[in-house]
Amino acid sequence: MADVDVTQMLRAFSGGDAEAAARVLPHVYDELHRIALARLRSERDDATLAPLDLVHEAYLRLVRVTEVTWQDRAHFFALASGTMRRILVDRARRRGAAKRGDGARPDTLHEDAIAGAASHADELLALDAALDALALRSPRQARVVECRYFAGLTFEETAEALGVSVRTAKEDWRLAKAWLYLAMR
Amino acid sequence: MLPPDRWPDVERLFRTVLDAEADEAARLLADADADVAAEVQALLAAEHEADTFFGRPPHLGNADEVEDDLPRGTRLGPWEVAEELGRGGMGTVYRARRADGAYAQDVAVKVVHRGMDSAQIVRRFQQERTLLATLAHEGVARLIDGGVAGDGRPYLVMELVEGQPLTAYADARRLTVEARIRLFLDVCAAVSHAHQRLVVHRDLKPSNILVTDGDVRPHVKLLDFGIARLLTSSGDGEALTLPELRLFTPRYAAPEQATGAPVTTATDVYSLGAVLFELLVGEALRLAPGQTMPERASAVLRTMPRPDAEAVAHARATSPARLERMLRGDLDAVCHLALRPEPHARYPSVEALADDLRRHLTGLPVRARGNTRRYLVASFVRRHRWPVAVAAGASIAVLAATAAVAVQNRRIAHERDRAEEVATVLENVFLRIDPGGQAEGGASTRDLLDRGAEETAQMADTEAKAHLLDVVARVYRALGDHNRALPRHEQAVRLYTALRGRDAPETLAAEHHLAYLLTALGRTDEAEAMYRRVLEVRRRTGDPTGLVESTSDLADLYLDTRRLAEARALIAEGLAVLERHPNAGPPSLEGPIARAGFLYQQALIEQQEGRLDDAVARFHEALNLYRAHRGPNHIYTAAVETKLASLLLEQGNGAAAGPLLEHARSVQERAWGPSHPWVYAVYNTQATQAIQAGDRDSAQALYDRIRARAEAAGDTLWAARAKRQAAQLRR
Repeated sequence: MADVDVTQMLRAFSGGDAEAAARVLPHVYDELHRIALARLRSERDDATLAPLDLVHEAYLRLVRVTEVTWQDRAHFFALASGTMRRILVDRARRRGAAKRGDGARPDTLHEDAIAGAASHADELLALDAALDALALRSPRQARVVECRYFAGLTFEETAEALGVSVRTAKEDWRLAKAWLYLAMR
Repeated sequence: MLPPDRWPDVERLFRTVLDAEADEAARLLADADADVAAEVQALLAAEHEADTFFGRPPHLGNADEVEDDLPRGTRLGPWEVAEELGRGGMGTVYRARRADGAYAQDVAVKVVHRGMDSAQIVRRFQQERTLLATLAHEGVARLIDGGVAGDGRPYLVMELVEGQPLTAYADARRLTVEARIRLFLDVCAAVSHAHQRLVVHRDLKPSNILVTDGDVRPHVKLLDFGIARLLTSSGDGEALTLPELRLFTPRYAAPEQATGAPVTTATDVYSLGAVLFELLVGEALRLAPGQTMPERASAVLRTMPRPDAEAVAHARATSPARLERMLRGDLDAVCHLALRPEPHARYPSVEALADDLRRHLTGLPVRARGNTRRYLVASFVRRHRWPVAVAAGASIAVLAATAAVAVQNRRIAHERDRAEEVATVLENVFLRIDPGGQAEGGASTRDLLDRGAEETAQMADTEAKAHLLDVVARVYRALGDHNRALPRHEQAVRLYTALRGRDAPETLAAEHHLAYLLTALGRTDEAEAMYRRVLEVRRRTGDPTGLVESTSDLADLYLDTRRLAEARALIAEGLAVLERHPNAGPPSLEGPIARAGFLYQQALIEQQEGRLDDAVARFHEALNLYRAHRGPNHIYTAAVETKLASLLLEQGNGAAAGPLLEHARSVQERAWGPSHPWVYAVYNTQATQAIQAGDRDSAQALYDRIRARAEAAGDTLWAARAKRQAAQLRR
């Protein structure tokens, strides 16, 4: 972990080196996962976390913030957004499995907490499937949703990371979230 | 829904309709392919509900690894576990009590999560326990005990605090902004206490700051002091390499915690800034694109009109507009300075942060805003709530005059005290604008003052004029312009004597100020006579503040003229006054600071009498007071350190002098920049230390450095002196 310089690679990536992303992503995933677990432990009954918090924490841990521009930061957050989605979905799957009793031991938490978590989990899994379906129609619009929803990026950051205008990012977001909502229903 | 190959049509129509006016949109939809139009209409209709769904952040889930639970009744050493109270990133907290009843109260036991490096943590724990045990402050939850559980996990036993997190408490009781700041000052006091004992919290956040209702006012208690360090550092102070063990809460963590740079008291300053921000605006500080944290904080503080402004203002018992006015300006600047990314650019200490907030509460200019003239005037006007016309070009002195007149007309003792404060502020302001008494940017400052002085001369002979003459004279004196100061001091004394009588407190104060100037002019006999007369009257009337002022300044005069016995008697008298009236003393030199001043004088006497051990002890006493009440990184604290260090060198104790000098140097350099006489003075003493240690090369380097900087800054006096010393060294 220490031998990978995320800052360097991030700069390479936002400078156009697409390969760099492949080298960075595993570390982003590990870091986000670790942080997510730590947070879950600490927020006993309500782990409703702004995803931006997690991504931001990973960012602070992995990147030497004084050496990068805000554009680099946007690229990092955009990379992290897909990862964040995977982590959330992985966790939701496991939770779903636990609820159905697929080998997981019962939780000691309150019943309604389980029910609440499960409904959140179902929602997330539905969103994940809908996002895959949207990506068949427009990969870019799916990415806009990832950036906005899973990494909390602003329109400006999203636009920068995806190389589109802010206006396009805004329209994509309106279109995509309406479509996703219908698709999940 | 339509299949993917129809998406371009859907997308195109959706975008066109978004741009169109209502009737145009209807036409577009009517003209389009029916399937596509139906999907676009469905999408438009779903927007609102979609917003609701996507407006909620995704849910991370609940902890499904609850593997380290301790059942009720588990024994941890002498402690018996009751119910779980909560869990944090590093451990789970349980309520517990002594199984043998030897300790009546319930305690909180924190058991660290499995998988931490127990051996290392336990070893660390042994080392740190003594240190943490020294934290005896009502604002800090006490560490009671600790040990290792049966399964090898270390645990900590702490005072159980059942309160509400700071922000929740403040909101629940609808505390005003001022009440919030007062509560926050209690937090600062507790943190400052720990810093003086070299304990850094490292994880300050609202949930670690609990508040309970007290009899008179809310009571603040900080949890987990130093615990983060306990659990994250190895014995030799290095951070552990396991990333999980770099524990902090990102929202409140300083940048150096994220980068792994050394954690210092400045780290807590940053976290306190983040907590203050949240306490004020009701939302946690988050990074936004293109902005640094301090910029982000300012942006939010300046633009309070937000969707939830009504609710936020309501929780602070005010209106959104008023709240916006309250947060903008001082508090914005305070947060900004506390949240600087570079540790050295923040407030030098928690005490300094607290001090600025106290200044804000009393309406004094906050240091965070620097000393731009416009701000000082604005602050001055705000502080004095009577209407003051701020005409363009109105001078500070004219404003002071207006203020003074209003005060005098009202004849309210309380307001008069405030007028005295005005003078002190102005004096400090001018000193700060022009610290070395030299003319950098001095022209405009001087302009203002000169104009103010002229206008004062035109005034009718009233008490207001006398007061203002005294103020203007003190400012001139502070600027080093003794020629202009002297006649005005004399006039002030004459005028007060005529209007109020010879022994009135105002007359005595003015006369004392005149004596002070005469000392600086070397006219010590006249000064002494005046000091003495004022002192006699003050002894008769028993005015503690006046007595502290008289004894200390007259003792200074005697010290300068080597009349040590007389100085000693006055110091004893002053200290005795402070015993009876612990807070007596002139503004900004009162109470403990006044006491520190007397101790300092006493040390000088002992030094001159050759009682070096006594002098060292006395300097230490003074130094501790300065550290506690001015802050460890205050320039005066550093000045005392330098003085003490030279004395230690005189005793041949270079080892003790070294760290003091190093600290003093960093403080002075931070305060004044590299080129300032106070910085040179420290270097100079460090050179002495090097010579004593037989390290002529270092001494040479230090002299060269002084010389280079002084030459560059045009300070010929210091340059010549350093050159001379370096030459002597080579001989």
